[in-house]
Amino acid sequence: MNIYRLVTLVLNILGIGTAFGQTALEKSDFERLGIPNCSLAVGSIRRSALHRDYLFLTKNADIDGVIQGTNQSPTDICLAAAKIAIAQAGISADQLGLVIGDCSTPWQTTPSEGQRVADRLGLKVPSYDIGGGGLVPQHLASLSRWRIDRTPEYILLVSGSTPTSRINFEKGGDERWHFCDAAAACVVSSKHRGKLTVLDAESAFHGKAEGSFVVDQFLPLIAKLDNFPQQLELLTADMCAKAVFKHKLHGAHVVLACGEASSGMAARVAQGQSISRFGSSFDDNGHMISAGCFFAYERIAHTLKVGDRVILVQALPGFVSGYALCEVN
Amino acid sequence: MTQTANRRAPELSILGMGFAHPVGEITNEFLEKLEVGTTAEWITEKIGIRTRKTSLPIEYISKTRNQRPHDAISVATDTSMTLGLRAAEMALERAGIKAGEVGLLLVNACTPCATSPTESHRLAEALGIEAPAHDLFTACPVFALHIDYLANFESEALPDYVLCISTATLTQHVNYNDRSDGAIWGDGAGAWVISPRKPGKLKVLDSTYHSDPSRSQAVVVDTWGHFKQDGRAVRDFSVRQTVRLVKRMEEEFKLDWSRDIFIGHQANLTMLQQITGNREIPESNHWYNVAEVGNQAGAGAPIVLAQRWHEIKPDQRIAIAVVGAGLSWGSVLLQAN
Repeated sequence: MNIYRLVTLVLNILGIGTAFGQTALEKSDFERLGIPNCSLAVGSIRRSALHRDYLFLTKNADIDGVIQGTNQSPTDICLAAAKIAIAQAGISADQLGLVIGDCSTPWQTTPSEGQRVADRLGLKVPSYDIGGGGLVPQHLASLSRWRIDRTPEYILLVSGSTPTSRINFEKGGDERWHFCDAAAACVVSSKHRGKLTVLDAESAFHGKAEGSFVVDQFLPLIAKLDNFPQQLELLTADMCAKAVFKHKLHGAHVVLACGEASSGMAARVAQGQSISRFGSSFDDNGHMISAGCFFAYERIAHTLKVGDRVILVQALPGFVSGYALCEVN
Repeated sequence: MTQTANRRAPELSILGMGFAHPVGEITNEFLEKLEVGTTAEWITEKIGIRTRKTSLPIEYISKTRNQRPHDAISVATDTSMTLGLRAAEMALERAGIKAGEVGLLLVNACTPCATSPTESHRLAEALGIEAPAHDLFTACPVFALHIDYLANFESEALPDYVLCISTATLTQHVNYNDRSDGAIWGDGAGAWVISPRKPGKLKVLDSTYHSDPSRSQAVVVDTWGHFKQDGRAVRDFSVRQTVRLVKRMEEEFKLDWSRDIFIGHQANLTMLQQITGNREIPESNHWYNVAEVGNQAGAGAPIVLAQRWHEIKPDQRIAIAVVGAGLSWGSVLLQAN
């Protein structure tokens, strides 16, 4: 079901930034952590905000104490991504008129992530969170339906989470090497032309919240990985098909950027819609909850030409998914 | 101070409102018995709160002082979700619509049980709503944020019915060894159904939302810990900012306090009385519930309005000014049909 009825505002993405957790973990690290069956490919890594020594010493068995295990909060990673997006947009932070944040693993449930990031950027502008499914689907789907006279000149959207901080590496299952701490941000404007123009964006809730992925306030993260990839692929394929059908997309200029998808999954989804160019984020980095589609975009950005149509897709298994269709300027 | 964009009168109506509180009650006498350096008399005199609603069993508070908020959830009689659900059901009933007719659900939860799925997704599932749902969060001034956010949209872009919920169980995050925090907080949820095109009981005449994130750490709820605030700074800010918000509505809309109603952020009664004293708002036209239920964060002001839903008179205007964590603030001016 569509979130809102129609796109009323042409938004441009002026800058995109991404950032990772500080600790890189390889297959050998997971084996050292007691995860012998980790099927992480050689060359792939996962990123964690946790200090390496803390992780090996404690295995993060007490997630209540995680703040002692890192000096890098989700807000730190969001801030790093935001600074890159702002620089790439060619503006200064004080030109922003609104900051919208999103974080699934906050250190504080109040104030909002948007307010924490805005604070760190030294801003005194309206800020709040739109949470539940990530940057592209919901933030862009909402903003592209706004009245132009109520839309600030520059808006920062930032979404980041540190799922590894909620994982018990002592007792957990495959989720221990599945996730990655990361953030993505973008600067959008309805008044200035940018690298990408958002032609359409939609997001959907699928009526069932208790799906494959749960971040409880006090309990370790739950990811039912036996059906997690299948659900993710179904939702991703559904959103991609919607964009293709609605906008009659075809031809070599259509490009797919699949957040959180493996390369195999992205290939199958692309093939299903006769799309030959695609990018994905999972193989190299793991599941980032909500930042993946911009990481996938970055992998293919160098191949893009003016006039290409990029479908950015993001989904959280079980309950929410969305896409943003952009034109390359 | 910056605002979202040029203000323009939104064309929104509130069709129904609901509220819910847990059954537990914390009295000043109970807080005195905790022996943390306070008396019932002192609390009444300082903040004007006599009782607060809580989702925690009184025996649990007595025994543990809630030193580990982690443990609170296992003994709580309500969660932010169960309270939100009851408030939503009342709002839908008063609006005369079914959950299935809701086209968008927005939820504000300062104390969510989980961050994924979000409180909005859990509430959507519990209510049987298959429409899009997401959290739209700023804590205390959320009544203004939700309405001002919807006013950003082209009317045609919105569904016929939007359900908004603000829910909070702050008592589960209070350190009851702290005499100030223990005296302030209560639990509750408020809900309201808004339409961009269907006529309702209350028409939105004006809305604003602002924030100053440079003071974002003045009010904090730690995910694993307790609520913390810079009490004096927040109180001064709240009074000053609320007075500004009310003054602007008075000037722009020629409010008449002999018939119009004021509802402020339900922080504490003495603060509200400072504001009404400053603006010369008579007691009869000041609606509040903080003295009986405590500070319910973002749920406070909408709960007051929901509780007085049947007392609203035709043509009456209701000026709502809300402030709090963020630091953020906003206002909504409503007119009854």
